[in-house]
Amino acid sequence: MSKRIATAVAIIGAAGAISGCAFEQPSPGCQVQDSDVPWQAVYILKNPEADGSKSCSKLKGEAIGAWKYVKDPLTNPTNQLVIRPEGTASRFVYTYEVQAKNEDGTPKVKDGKPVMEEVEAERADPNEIKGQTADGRPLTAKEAASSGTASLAMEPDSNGLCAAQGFDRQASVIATEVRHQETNEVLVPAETAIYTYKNVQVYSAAGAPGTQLSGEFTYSDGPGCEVEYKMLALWPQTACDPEAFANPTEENAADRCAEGSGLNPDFDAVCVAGIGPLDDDGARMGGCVPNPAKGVPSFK
Amino acid sequence: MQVRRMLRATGVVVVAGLSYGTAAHADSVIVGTVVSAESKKPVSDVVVTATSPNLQGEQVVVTDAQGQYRIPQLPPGIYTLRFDKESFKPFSRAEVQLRLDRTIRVNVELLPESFTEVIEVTARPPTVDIGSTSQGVNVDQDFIKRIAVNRPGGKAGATRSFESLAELAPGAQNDAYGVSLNGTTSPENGYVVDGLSTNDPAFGINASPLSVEFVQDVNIITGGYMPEYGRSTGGVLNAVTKSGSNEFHGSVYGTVTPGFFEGRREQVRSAASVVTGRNTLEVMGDVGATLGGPILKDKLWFFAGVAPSYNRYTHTRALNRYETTVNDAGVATVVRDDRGIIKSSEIPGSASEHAVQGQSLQYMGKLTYLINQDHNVSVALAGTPSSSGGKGVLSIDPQTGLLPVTINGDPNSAAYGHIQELSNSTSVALKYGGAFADKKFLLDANVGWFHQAVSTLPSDGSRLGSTEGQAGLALVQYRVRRPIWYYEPNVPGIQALCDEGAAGTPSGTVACPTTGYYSGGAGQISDGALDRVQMNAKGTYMLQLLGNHVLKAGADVELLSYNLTKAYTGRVYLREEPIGSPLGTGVWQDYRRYGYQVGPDQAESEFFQQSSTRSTTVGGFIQDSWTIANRVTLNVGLRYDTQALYGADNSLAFVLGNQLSPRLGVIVDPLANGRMKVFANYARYYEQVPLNLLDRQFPGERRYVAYRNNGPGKCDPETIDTHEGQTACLVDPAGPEGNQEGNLYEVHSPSELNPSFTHAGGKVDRSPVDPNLQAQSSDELLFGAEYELLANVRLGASYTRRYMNSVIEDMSRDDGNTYFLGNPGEGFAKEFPKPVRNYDAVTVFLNRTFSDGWLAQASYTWSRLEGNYPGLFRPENSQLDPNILSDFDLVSLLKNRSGLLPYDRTHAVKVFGAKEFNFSNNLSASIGLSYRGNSGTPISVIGAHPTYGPSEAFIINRGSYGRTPWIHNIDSNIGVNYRISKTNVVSLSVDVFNLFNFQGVTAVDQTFTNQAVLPIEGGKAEGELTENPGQVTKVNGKPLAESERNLNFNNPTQYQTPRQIRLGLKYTF
Repeated sequence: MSKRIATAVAIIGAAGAISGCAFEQPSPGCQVQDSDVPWQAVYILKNPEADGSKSCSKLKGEAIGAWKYVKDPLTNPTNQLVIRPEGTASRFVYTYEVQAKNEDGTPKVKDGKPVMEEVEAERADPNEIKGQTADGRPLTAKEAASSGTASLAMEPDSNGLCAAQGFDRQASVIATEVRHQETNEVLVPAETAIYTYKNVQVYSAAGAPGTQLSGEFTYSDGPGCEVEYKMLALWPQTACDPEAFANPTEENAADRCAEGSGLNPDFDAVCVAGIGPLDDDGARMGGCVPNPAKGVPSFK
Repeated sequence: MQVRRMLRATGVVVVAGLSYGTAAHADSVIVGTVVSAESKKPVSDVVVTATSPNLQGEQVVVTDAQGQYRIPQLPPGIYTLRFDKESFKPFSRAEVQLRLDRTIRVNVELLPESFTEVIEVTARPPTVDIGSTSQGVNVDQDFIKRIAVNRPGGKAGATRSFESLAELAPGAQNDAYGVSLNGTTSPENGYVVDGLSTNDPAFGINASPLSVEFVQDVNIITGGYMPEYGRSTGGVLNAVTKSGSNEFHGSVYGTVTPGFFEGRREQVRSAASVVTGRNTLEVMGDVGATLGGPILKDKLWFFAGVAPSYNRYTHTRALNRYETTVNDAGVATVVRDDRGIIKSSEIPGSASEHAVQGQSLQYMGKLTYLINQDHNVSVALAGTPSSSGGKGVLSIDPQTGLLPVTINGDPNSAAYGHIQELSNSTSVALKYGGAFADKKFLLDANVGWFHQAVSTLPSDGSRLGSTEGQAGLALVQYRVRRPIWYYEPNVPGIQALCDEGAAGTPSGTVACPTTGYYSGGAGQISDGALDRVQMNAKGTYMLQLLGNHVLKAGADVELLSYNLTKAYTGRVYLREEPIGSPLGTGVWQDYRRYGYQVGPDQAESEFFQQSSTRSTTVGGFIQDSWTIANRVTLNVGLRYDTQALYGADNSLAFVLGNQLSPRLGVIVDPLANGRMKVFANYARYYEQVPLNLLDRQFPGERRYVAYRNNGPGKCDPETIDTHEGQTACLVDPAGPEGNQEGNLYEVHSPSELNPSFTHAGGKVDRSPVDPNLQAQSSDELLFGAEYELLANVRLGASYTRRYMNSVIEDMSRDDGNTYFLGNPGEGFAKEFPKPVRNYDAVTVFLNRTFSDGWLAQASYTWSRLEGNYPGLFRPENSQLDPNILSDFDLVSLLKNRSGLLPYDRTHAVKVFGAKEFNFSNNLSASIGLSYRGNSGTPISVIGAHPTYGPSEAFIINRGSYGRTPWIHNIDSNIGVNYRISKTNVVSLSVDVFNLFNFQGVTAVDQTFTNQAVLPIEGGKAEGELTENPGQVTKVNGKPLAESERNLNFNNPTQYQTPRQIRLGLKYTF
């Protein structure tokens, strides 16, 4: 009898020993969340004292597109990263409002209020050839507004960071000035924007697969001005209310980059005024970004 | 009943429903105690001999010092037991019915030679299974012979597959892929044939539609089962095939269901299209032969069977013209009848007939070798090669058995009639059963290989990825509303007939409109192979320690693999943008295309995609069934499983470790006489994840999207369904050979933050997996009682509750560009709602097993199934993608998704009865009747999602738009048996299904609109939604217009299968 019991105990013990095993899920590799929903970046001057007063030192942050591509995915995959900042992409077209006209040319009025319509002014020909791509194809202006490709690591390092090295081109745009079609008033001056990226790192882990990144870039608004910025970004771009962020309550969590905002609730995100998406009136809302005190990754 | 006998059998008590799949084909046990009738003391060294027509040779054991005996490893059947000992009178007990997976107790009192007292037997053996909490039914040939089962049609209808018997159980109902048990979906069931799983490794459904003619016994376990069964969160369907014995026995049979007996089918009318379709059965049937017998008497036996089956339907397709009227403004509108259905009439000369055909050949062979009394081995081979469709022939869906409903497209294009569906399964199984230490320790071991070949290929022989023939022609879907004559101008006079005569209406767009018309090529084609290698072993040990213990422990290993090559014919599935599309009416989209982007707008289009994925599951269990004082039985057990899954890139995708499934049951026999039990059971069941998910997401399908300019010389609707038209649409003449980069439409402006302007998607990532991923499991609580009212009559009631624990699903936070695998509501998916599927059911049943020439079974089940998680497939659109359904993909899809689930049926009644009449010694007949009635299913109001397309957005709370009507079904069976000689019988049977040809509505169109819409906040509509569709907001923020509503919403899309009569003739010897 005791032998039988001993056998049973041995089997139960074996099952217990097996069930004590810990299983780890494998890494999904370096991922970047790229979709039509952009990233939200905040920019921090590297040398505020030296550069603070320059014309090109006014960037606070904006939306960026960060896109991963894979060459030869089946046999010898290599990751590529491309960045397209709002600062270049948004300068192809300038939109402003004018009062609509009746057929006889008189200003249109409805219920005593002027009827407005939008005018889209092209500032740069998107299909103008600007040079050559790294692989020898003609480079159009709309393509030049994206950075060149950098090679992105396949697997994150021990800190979960995937380094992107060697962007082979700047992201740039040269936009003409826009004058009001009636008053000839200069609505926006001619502008140049050139971003030269380096040291970009994307944080990629199963719990946050490519949703935070950091990097540096040199920004120029034309000959004579060039400054260096640090950049911290997270995905997806999420609007926030700086006042709510300063005065947190349980109810306003969704407005201050916390639960319900649409961000990963584990992120330690802060709300920065004036860098987020545009509201209905065309004003910039606040945007959620990684806590600069922590850098990337920034978790609670 | 009073029988004057010198001896008596004191009872046949089923002590435990200890069932185990891996050794099922000889896993039943007879145990008992032999005592002296005079002294009531145990008698040792009694020779107990068991014989049965189903048993090879005979099994002999000897009672121990306590008078106890145990005859293990018996196949199910009718047994005769003989008890012999010197100085006692020999005793024989016949007609001991032993069911699959059961242990029954036959206690005997032996009479000394000198003893002369007369003992009266006053009762029959009890039939209540007092050792088990298992729920379900056991279906044997007695039942199959007398009740109309295996309805023709549907999945594997012609082959009369064993799995369809599962719907006989209380709490069971047919679903799209098999039988749903206790609110679960059919791919969650475990399908076991002779101890080895026949689940499709990729999708979980049953892959071996084995004929009931090859099957000895089917045990349908709907719940409350012990840990020896695992890797299933539904029920278990356990079938045991027939074996040979010392006598030659066999059968030759045939059944036929001719189409001309078929009742009238109610025609499904689609108000949103002028196309109608009607399926009529031509013929369905199978013929077959089985033979079993000895090769070496008492040593080596064989069983073999072969059964070809065939089914053929005619699909009649016709075009209708809606009746129209013209208003004062000169605009035409349709005329509706008093039921709100659009009046229409068939367009003369528009009808065409199309064959729908499928065939299958089943075979099996089995050899059983008795090494000696205590050791046997068997080897079995079985296969079910099946095919359907072909050149000019429509196919029957191999997974669902469904026929084409309406052909809203060119019936002569490869989009319909030129596809060959093949699905072959082959299994080889080797089994060993051994007894050691005077049959006190038993060992059963199985090794098996289950192979499937599944393909969907063009019938012209063109291969995957070819640019020639049907494989080179892309599927096309037109979505701009046009008159049907635009596509089918050759119907005589159709253009004039469709003209509304209204100045304000483009001719034919109201009288004969169509949207969503298909033409061109076949679309997705594939060629796959699936394998399952299984090894398992189980030991059983009997123990006396404060009562009776039956200890079992076992281990098993399953290796699954799935190799699939898939392609879109012509590399792409082209779809037209409908009227009002923000991209522009008539722009063409590469809706489905395999390929990826290597850089911005640098797309590599793939001719086909190939992947090979696999998984390894290792597990084991230990369980004890402990009976104390014949009054209380405790079933305690624990199962452990770990599944490791490997992706197509050959690396570990994820691992589902440490699945611990406790099972705990208690059964009380308050009267200690085997006539009553009260029981409770708790069980946790884990899922074995099917491989389709690996194929789809590890790494993900590489797919990208592009849009194309429309118009003559570009993507021209006039020619786009031809090779030439597709070349003009897709190929850039200036580009490299074989490119499909022509006429690209700029879908992203330079102001957007996407470096690609004409392409989207094409990612190649593996799905990230939550590091804390938990295996999918569900818990079951069961309470019940059973009581034997009369001899062979049991009355029972039970309450079942099932709920989900963690669920594995894929989710996306970026509108479907990237997915991750996790547990919704847990881990890093904690912002997703928790999956809920709560099933509560109360069942009352009355059973009378077949004896004295009649049987009866009646059950009533009240149930409620609610939540937001349907199971391993999506009932709304039959999407079968286990663990990667669209349900939890996006947070935006999840609004209003909680409610009554599609298989919620409040009431279900099942009544079966059969009576046998003996006219003479040689002539008998039987009549069987069955009634199944159940309330309808909940109706949802569904719209399209901007990225997920139709049937994905719940406009109001799920299942809250009323129910479909009650469904009643009455089937009958008449059988006549004529005995030619002692063992030769000729049987004629007539099964009538749906005797009264009830044509109840079984499904309605739940699509409210095909427009992308937003769910209504709060999930409730104001007033009648169909009268005020404007309260539904489209994704573009505008209210839904009446013209954008699906006119067919809430109209029937499916009726009950009509009356069918199956004739059968069988000769058994």
